[in-house]
Amino acid sequence: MVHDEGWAEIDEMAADFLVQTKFAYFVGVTSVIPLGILMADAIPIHLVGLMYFRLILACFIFAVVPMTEIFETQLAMRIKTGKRYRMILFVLIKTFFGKCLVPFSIFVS
Amino acid sequence: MLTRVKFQSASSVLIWLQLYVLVAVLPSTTSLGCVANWQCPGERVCISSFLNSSDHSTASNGTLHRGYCRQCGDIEALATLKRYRPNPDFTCRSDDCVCRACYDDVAVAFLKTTTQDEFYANVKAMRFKDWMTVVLTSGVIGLAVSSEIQEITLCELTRNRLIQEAQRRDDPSSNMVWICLEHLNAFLRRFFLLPLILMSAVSLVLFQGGDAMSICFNSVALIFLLECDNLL
Repeated sequence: MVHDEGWAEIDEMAADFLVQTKFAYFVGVTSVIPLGILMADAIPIHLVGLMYFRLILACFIFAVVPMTEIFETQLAMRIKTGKRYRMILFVLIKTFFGKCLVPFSIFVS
Repeated sequence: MLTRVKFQSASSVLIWLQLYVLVAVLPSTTSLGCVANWQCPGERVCISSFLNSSDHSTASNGTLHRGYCRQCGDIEALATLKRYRPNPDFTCRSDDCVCRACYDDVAVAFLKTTTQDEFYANVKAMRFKDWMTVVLTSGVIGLAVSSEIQEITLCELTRNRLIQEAQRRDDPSSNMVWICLEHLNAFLRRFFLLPLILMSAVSLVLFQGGDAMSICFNSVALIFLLECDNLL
């Protein structure tokens, strides 16, 4: 689906953007699969039920794409700020707490 | 121009097919389709949704009814078994396969294993080498997904270029069909196809077992589904 000349047609800035995108998604996906298994193991299915369990897992997985895009934006910002590790850590912590809120909100409700 | 639209239409059809197959893969990780108990792995039994509890014996009499493999402790199986009251003299009818598969003569009770128990056991059974396999296959799936994202981004760049060209020619409608199809395809690939791939990867490990061999084969299957749109 990609035109063969696609690479030749993009400029250097777009190429940088593509590399960052690729890196962000690689990191996001590589971490989300083992984390998904660990998270699923930690959820007490007997309490929440199989349906809610699937819902929690789906929320976790389906949130990866937007979260990775945030991560990617932060990576793009690091070129200007130079605070790459702090930025990445900050996004990861936010993502972690955001995910923790999903099962928490289900328990509370 | 027409060729471009034709290719984009074919891409749309292929993406819909990919999604359809993935949506079929996802539930099959938890409940396989069956017509008889022997088709179900482990201690699962074949529960037909078309039969009520009193009709289950007819399924073993030669009439094949499509159902799903369930554990004896699952709600669907319990609904079938609730008519029995086990006691020391209790024996299952010879034609009732579900009862025979789920009844424990020693404990004088039906098995209580549920799908959830099976899932916990699968994760508990994973050893260090299995976790390393998960990490490796996650990396490979991660690379495949990032390549897919890169292709989506390239398509978006091409789409933007075509929009700019159309605006320059004062003919915004010339590439409109292609652009709309490309918008749809990019959305489906990014926000539906990729999460479904990830969801399937996690579900396959949880419900189909986490041994190194299964993880590798399941990952190959998922990458195949992800990559098949590149053939066009």
